Amino acid sequence: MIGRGTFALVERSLRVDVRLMRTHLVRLLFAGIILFMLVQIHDDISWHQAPGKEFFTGICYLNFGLLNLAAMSLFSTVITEEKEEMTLGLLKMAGISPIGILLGKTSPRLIAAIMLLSVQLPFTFLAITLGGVLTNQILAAYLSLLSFSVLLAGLGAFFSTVCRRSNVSASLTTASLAVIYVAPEFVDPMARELLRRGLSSVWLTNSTVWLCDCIREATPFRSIEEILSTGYSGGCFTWQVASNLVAGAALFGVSWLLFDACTRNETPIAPSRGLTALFRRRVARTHANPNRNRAWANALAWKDFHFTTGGLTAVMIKFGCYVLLLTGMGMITSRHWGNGQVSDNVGAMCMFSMLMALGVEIPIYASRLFREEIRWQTWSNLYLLPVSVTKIATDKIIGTLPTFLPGIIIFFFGAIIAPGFVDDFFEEALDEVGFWWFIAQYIFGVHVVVLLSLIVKWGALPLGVAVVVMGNVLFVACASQSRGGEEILIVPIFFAIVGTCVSIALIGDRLKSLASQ
Amino acid sequence: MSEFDESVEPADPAPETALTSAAEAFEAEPSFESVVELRHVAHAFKQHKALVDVSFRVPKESLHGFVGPNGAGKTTVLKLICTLLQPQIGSVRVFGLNVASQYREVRKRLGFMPDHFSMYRQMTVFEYLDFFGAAYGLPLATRTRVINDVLELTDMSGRRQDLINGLSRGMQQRVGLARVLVNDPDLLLLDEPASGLDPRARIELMEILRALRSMGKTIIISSHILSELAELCDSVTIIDRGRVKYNGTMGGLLDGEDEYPRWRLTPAEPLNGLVETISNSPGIMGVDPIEGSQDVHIAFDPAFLDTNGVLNLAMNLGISVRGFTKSQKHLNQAFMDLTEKGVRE
Repeated sequence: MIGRGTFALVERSLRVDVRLMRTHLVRLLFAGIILFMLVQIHDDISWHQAPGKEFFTGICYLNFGLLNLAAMSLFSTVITEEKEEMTLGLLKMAGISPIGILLGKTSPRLIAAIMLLSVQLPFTFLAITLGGVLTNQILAAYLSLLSFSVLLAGLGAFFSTVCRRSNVSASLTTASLAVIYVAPEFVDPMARELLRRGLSSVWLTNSTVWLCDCIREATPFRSIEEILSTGYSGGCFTWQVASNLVAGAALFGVSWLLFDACTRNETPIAPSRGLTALFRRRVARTHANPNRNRAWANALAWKDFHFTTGGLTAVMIKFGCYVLLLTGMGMITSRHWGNGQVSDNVGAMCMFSMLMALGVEIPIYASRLFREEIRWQTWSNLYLLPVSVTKIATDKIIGTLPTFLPGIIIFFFGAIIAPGFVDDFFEEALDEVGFWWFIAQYIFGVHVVVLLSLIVKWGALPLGVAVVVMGNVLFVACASQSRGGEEILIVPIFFAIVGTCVSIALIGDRLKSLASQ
Repeated sequence: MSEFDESVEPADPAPETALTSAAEAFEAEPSFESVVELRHVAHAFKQHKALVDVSFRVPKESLHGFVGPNGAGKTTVLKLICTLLQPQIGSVRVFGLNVASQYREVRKRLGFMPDHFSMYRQMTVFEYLDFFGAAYGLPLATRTRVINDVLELTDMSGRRQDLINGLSRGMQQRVGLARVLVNDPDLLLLDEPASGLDPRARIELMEILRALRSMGKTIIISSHILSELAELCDSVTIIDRGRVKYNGTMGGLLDGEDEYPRWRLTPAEPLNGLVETISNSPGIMGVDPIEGSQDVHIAFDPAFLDTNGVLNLAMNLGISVRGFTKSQKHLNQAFMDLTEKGVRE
């Protein structure tokens, strides 16, 4: 089952990995961050009770973040990239079995992740010298992360086997991780609320709460917190380690079982019409009036609205989903609203939720703005239109804007029914440097995501977010040394503005270069 | 600049003659109105010199073949003409406009069909053409008419509501051509339009190109299918290793560079000893038997003889003549003569 072909795949991947400059740069960057954290802790040693523990906690969460990034981009594309290149059939014809392909493709990426963990081990033992953490805690934490990486590799292998396209696989992997981290926090109180209102049985509620606890315990969040608590006496082999290894192996096994069924027919990957299929049927029905549903005068906006964001159908579905979600949230939280007016609470909830939703939606669509054109090799045709790249980009952005309408409408609905909340918000936030710092970083982040979407094949969104967050974390760490006030945030605001301008220039250059490839 | 100055090194002896003649032909004042003119263009991608010194012209309303081995620089030249690339050295003019500074005006007047299927395959044929029509700023009524016209020209009217993704390769190629025609460009640049097409689709595509030429369009077509180019094109440019090896009429290329005209005589019976008799006749400059047949090539001095004279001479010698045709090289042969062996490094 696992033969020479599997080892050839592993060897090739490792060779390519070693030859790539970026592999070593990522490791160097990682080592640099650890060194920076070490220096920070050392400089600040008199302020901390357990500097070693704080240093090691930082490293653990950094690893945790990077493993999540790896799951969203590296692990989730192991098989789909072969499907897209139409090379999976060749591997099968070479006599490599499904398990051989799965192992041959997954293990080099898992090895790369483990390498990243193991290379830091000697440095992290310095945490013991700094004080606050013991050897068994370090080993337990690394085992926790290791088992988590197995789970992530299994999850990625599963979705990349089932899905035909890398972006779908990456999205489902990301959504699954979001569900694992966030769902217990919503489902647990919802189940209790349903029981309180007599809409659910005790057994069902208890089972749901138990399941939520199990999921919480299975994530390294809780596990690392426990391991690094003072006086930790548990072993290395925790529930989290066992559950992660079993779940990872199970997902891998399911991928193996489904492999043949999911990869039997090799079909060329084409862009999906998605929700625009409904639009097309409408075109066919209204064929008697040939001027209906024609491209707008702003053709690029028309194309992006219908074929990138899903058109009116997607807008309506999204609006319905947001209304349903807000109704559910209202039901859960209504008993905590206190004596204030219901309209104020509903308005605040609508505004806050929609700000969050828009905050997530904008970078997602930004990452797709040019990526889809590059991916399907249509960019050169657009570039040859007798207009500037700026005009093309502006038109594409205009075409994407209607997709944000549901969020904007609900936000303004909230603002109308809770005007006091809006006044308070503007009075407080607009004077805060922190508010402007956040806005500047957000805008910079969106531009970084667009730029990265033109450079990397997958994972521009998480990578862009990680770059900006990491940059700010490093700045805040440095700034904390100065013991200055909030005014210090003007520096990252300035850098974000400069960074945004540089990103725009680089995006233009990259688009020009991609058009001629 | 200096990098390229140094890089213009002499080519190998045989192609150098052709190169010199191509360069000389370019420097002479053209007898035609040229739509595209490249002057001493050089372009490099990092260390790789894609074009070393490229100069040629394309006559107006002609079907111009652009031929060269893989990696010769054909696509780079086409991208330079269509403004996707800017020349690093030299100048590229299209309709007298500089592609580097007047690229928007140039783009309005040309259509480029790349060698890969760059299409919104999730759209229907009509949506796709409608989108590009609108993107080029055509008003709704004009767009409807133009789309109907181009669909009719490409014989795709019956498939207007089909998804592009569901079409065969040949049909997708037609849609690609229809897209290029939507803005009614004067110059069409087609990069390997017949690659991967079956013989029928290829022949039909060539028919469409002939129809377009008759409409007054200038078409530059890059292709490896030399036999079809020989039939189709009025003029041709042969490029190899970033240098132009030939630029001129197709007839001029196929006639070769012989000093005297050569005709092929096909006798009904073997000539035997008559070859020497013909050779010694006045005005005859040479008689070469063609290996594997009883035919001969006859070269004559037009100052003394014309083709009727040669034919009369043969008949007077008692030769029963079956055929007497102008001797031309096959484009394959001309291509092989002008290009170098081996793969470009």
